[in-house]
Amino acid sequence: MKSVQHSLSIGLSLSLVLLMVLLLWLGSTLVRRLSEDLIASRLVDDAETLVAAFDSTGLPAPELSRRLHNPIYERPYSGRYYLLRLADGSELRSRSLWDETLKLPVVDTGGTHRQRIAGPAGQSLLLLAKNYQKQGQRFTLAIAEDLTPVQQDVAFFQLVFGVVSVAVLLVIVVVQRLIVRRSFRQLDLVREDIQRLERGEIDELSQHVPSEVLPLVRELNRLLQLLGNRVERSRNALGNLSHALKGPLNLIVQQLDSEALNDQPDFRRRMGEQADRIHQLMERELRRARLTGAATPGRRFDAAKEVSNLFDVVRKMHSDKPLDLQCDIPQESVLPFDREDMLELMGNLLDNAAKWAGSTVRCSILSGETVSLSVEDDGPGCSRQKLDLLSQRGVRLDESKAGHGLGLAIACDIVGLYEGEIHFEHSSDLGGLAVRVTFPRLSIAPAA
Amino acid sequence: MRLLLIEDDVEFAKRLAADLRRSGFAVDLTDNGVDGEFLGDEGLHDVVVLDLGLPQRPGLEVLRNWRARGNDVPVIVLTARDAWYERVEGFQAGADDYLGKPFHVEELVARLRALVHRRKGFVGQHLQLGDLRLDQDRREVQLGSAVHALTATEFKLLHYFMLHPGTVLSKARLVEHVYDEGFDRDSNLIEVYIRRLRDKLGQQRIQTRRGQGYVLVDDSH
Repeated sequence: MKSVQHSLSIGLSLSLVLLMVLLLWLGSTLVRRLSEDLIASRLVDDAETLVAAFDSTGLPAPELSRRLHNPIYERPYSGRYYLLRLADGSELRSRSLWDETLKLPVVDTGGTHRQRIAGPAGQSLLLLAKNYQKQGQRFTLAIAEDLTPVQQDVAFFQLVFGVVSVAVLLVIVVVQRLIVRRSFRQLDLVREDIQRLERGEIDELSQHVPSEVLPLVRELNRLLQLLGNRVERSRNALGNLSHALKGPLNLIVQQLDSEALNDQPDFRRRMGEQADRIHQLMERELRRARLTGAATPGRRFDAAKEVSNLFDVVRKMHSDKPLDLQCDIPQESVLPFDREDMLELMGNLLDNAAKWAGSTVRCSILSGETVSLSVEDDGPGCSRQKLDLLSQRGVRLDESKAGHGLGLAIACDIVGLYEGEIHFEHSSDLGGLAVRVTFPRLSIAPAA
Repeated sequence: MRLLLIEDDVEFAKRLAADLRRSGFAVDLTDNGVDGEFLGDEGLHDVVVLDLGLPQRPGLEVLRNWRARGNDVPVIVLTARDAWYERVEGFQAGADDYLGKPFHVEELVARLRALVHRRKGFVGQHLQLGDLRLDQDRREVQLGSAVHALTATEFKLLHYFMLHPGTVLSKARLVEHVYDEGFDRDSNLIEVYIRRLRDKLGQQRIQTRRGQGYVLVDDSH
C-alpha cells in the first residue's frame, strides 16, 4: 500500500540530496576558480617582475637581475617556479626547480597561455606562459605555482560542506516526518470514526477534520445516508408487499378451512398444500430480500440485550411448555452486525430449538478473532444423514411441526450473506440438536 | 368468553369472527385503532385479537396505550408483519402472543384458549376443576365418568364459570362475557341456562348468592 508519509520522505530526501550535491559542486568550483585566479594574478605580477629583471645588455648571455628576484624561487621545490626560454633554445630556470624542468607549451604570439600541469615532487601546477621581446631578445617566460594548498582547501571545504549537509538533511527529514505525522494525526480521528462506524457506534463520520479531507468525509456521509435510506425504503416496501400478499393468501387459507369444503377433503388438502407452498416461498424470498448483510455501515447488535429480548419472545410463543433458556453471552458483547438480520437469525434458531426442546435451550456467543454462536437443545436431535440435509435449501425434516425447515433455511441464508459457516451437530451436552455458526470478525486494521 | 377483534380487512374479519363464534367466543369487531382502543378499555373482553396495520391508530400504539394505562387484557397480535424484530417490538409493546398471517383458525383458537387459560393459572387447552373437565373441542363437560354435551351458550357460560371458580359472578357480568354486542341480551335467559347447567352438573355445583349472582364451587374435595 502507498504511504503518503513514506513518499514525502523519499521525495524530500532526494530533492535535498540533489540540491546539496549541486551546491557542493558549485561551491568547490567557485572556490577553486577564485583561488586559481588569485594565484594567476600573482603569477602575472611575478612574470612582470622577472621580465623587468631580464637583462642581456653587454653580457655574454642574458641573465636575471638578482635585485628584483623573489627568494621563494631560490628554495628547491618551493612550489613557485619559472622557466625562461630564449629563441636559441637556451633557458634560465629558477633554482626552486632543482633538477627538474617545466614542459613549455606552444604559446601564441601576444597571448597568455594558462594551464594545469604536473610539476616536480608530484605537485600539480598552474602555469602561465607568454612570449616577450626585450633588448632585442625574444623569449618565452613560463611561471608556475603549486596548486596543492588550493586543492587541500577545496577538499576541506567539501568535507565540511558534506558533513554539515548530511546533518542538515537528517534534521530536515526528521522535522518533516514529525510535521507529516502531526498532520496525519488529525486523519487518525477519521480512521477512528470509521472504526466506530464499523462497530455500529455512530451513524456518520464527524466533520471536525482537516479541510483537505472534509469533502471526502462529506461525500462518505452522504453515501452512508443514501445507503441507509435505501435499506430502510427497501425494507418498508418489502414489508408492505408482504402485508399485501398475505392478506389474500390468508383469505384463501380461511376459505379452505371453511365448512363448505368438508365434503371435498382431497381438494382441501391439495389446495392447502399449494397455499402452504406459496406461503413458504413468499416468506423465504421476502425475508431474504430484507437482509442487508455485511455491506451496511452503522450496524450494531447488542447480543446480550437482544438475546434476552428474544428469550422473552420465545418463552411467550412456546408457553405450552416450561422452558429453561440458558444464555452464555458476555455483557459487553456488541457485534458489528445488522440488528434485524441478527434478530432474524437468532430468532429462527431459538424458535427451532424451543420447538424441539424437552425443556432446555442453551445459547452462547463468543466474540474474539471470529464470532461464534451456538444454540443447543435437549430435544430428540437428528441422525447423521438428517444433519447433513438440514442446511440444504428449504429442507423440511419433520412435517409434524409447522414451519420447521424454513427458519433454518433463512438462518443459513443469513450466515451465507455474512460469509460465515453454519454446522448442524449432535449436542454432546444436552443431547439434542446443536447449531454452530462462525462469522469472520468484521473490522478495519488498526492505525500503524 | 368475550373477544375483541380489531382488524381492518373487513371481509377477512367477518369470516374470522364467524369462525371464532363457532368456536365458542362472543366476538366484537372493529376495523380501526381508535375504536379498538376505546372498546378494549371498557373491560368487557377476556381476550383481544389485534392487527398491527390499522387505520387511524397503529395496533402497536393501541397496545402501548392500554399497557400504559394498566389495561392488561390478554392480547394476541395477528399480523402479516412477522419478522423477528417486529415480533420483539410487538412483545415489548405488551403482546402476549404473536401469530403471523396466513394462519389456520384452529391454531388461533388454540392459542387464544391457551392464553386465557394461562392467565387464569390453567395449563393447556382444556379446563379441569376437580372432577369437572371441559372439553372445548367437543364442547362436552365431563363430571367423573359422566359426559354431557353442551349447547353453545351453556358451553360459554360454563367456560366463563370455570375460568373464575369461587368468584361470585353477577348476571350482568355473565351477560357481558357470554354475549357479544349484536346479541339480544336478556339477563333472564341466563337463569334458564344456569338451570340447565345445574341439571347436568348437579344442583350444588353452581350456587346462587342472593342479590349478588352465582358462584361455581369445586366440591370434589
